[in-house]
Amino acid sequence: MTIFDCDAAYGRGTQALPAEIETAADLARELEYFHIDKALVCHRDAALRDFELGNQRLPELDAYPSLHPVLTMAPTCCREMCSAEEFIQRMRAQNIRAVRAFPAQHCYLLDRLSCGDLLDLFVACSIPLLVPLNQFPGQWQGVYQLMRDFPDLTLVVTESGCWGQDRYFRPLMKRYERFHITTSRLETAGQWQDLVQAVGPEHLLFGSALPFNNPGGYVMMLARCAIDDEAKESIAHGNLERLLREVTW
Amino acid sequence: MSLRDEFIQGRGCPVIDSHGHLGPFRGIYLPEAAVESMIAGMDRAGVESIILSPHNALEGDTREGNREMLDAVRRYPGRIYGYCTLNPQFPNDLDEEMAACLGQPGVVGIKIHPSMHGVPVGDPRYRPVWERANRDRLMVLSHTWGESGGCGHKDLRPIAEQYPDVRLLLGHSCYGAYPGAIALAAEFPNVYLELTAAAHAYGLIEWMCRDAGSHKVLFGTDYPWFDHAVYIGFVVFAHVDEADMRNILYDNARRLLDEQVARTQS
Repeated sequence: MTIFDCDAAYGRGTQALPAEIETAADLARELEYFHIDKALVCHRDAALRDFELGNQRLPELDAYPSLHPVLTMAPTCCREMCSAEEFIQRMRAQNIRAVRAFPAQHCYLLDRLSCGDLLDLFVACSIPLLVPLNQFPGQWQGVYQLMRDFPDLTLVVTESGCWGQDRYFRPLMKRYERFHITTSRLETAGQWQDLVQAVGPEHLLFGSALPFNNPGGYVMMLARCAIDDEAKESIAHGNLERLLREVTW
Repeated sequence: MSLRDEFIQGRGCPVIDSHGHLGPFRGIYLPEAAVESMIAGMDRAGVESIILSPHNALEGDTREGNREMLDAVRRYPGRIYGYCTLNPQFPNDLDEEMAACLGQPGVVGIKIHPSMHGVPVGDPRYRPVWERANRDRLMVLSHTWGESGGCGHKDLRPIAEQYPDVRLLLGHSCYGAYPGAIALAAEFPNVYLELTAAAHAYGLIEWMCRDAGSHKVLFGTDYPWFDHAVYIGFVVFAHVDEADMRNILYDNARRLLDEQVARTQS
């Protein structure tokens, strides 16, 4: 089964992790070890230091066909970033089909007032936006507000919590066709099959959050959970590939 | 074929979960919280046995919870083993609960939750627990978290020193304060690291095996919180050799369980 990880990163931060993935070569090697065929990737500098510093590291991925770059956004109000239109042009020029945002870390609100110019274009171009849950103020309340403001946004909430989150995300899945979560920390016993039975597999993307999480747990879950092969293929790669195909910069 | 590939194909080696619970908890949605669902889930994942303490024993009336434990152990002998939960908020219950549970077939140790019960492990109210566990060489699974605060590795160090015959299982391996927990397990022959909640961290199992040894690491999941398949995956995809994986998944817990079962039978 092909596995396409939508949430991987490389680079070192100031806090040592139990194990580090410092370079693109390290990441490519580890993904292969975990039976993961390809991944959407950003450099950790994009979150920890500066979005543009991280974005400038992305050409390091060019030598690794399994690693697909993701640009990190910031609001345009402080003029340290290009215009929304230029950002989309940059994505098209570099064949980049997804965006990451770290609003809490980077001190802004991911809402219409602060980011409407970018978010309207993401909706128009069907560009997936990946955001860790802990980057929303009020966590799920922030996600609900964003989806109310942009109901057609292709949103992927990563690292959505290891238990007790179903009552938060299932209503979003039922209401918004383009709302998704990832498999990282989706670890509650019986949760995958229960979720797929309730709302289908379309809202779930394989995402490991490597180097923070050991992807092996989610790879094993794909192999062993009690859902049919078609649903597994959707989660493993099909849903993400469909989203990326739908991008129309 | 590698052990990892065997598990992917639904086989693998036997597994013992040394940290389980049972029943609902604070209204949180847990799809497999009933004992019958747990047995079905264990069958699906290839888990031979689990050692558990019911949620009711931790968060509700400890005495009722311990009766649920005894009932589950009797209904599923060899599949479910039990910890006698002890809550020192009610010191007058301790002797009675130990008398009712310890020594019963399938009851293999004690569970304490110092943070939930608001009593640090070094508090005098825990003394009868430690003394009994030390005398009878019992397993004690303690919830542990961080460096200190009642159940961190700094709180557990004097316990490990003072009660060398307690088989002290650090539940969650002092989550987030791993260097201290790993050092404790490396230093004291009676201290074990347990994987619940911690195992997801990339590289952590390798670190535990390198510095404390795989013979000091126990598989655990908080089941029905965490899915066995996910946690088995964390172990068999770790960069350790297969002997280490088997130690973690089965052999270490089997050794401890056999010791306790032999004690109760004698």
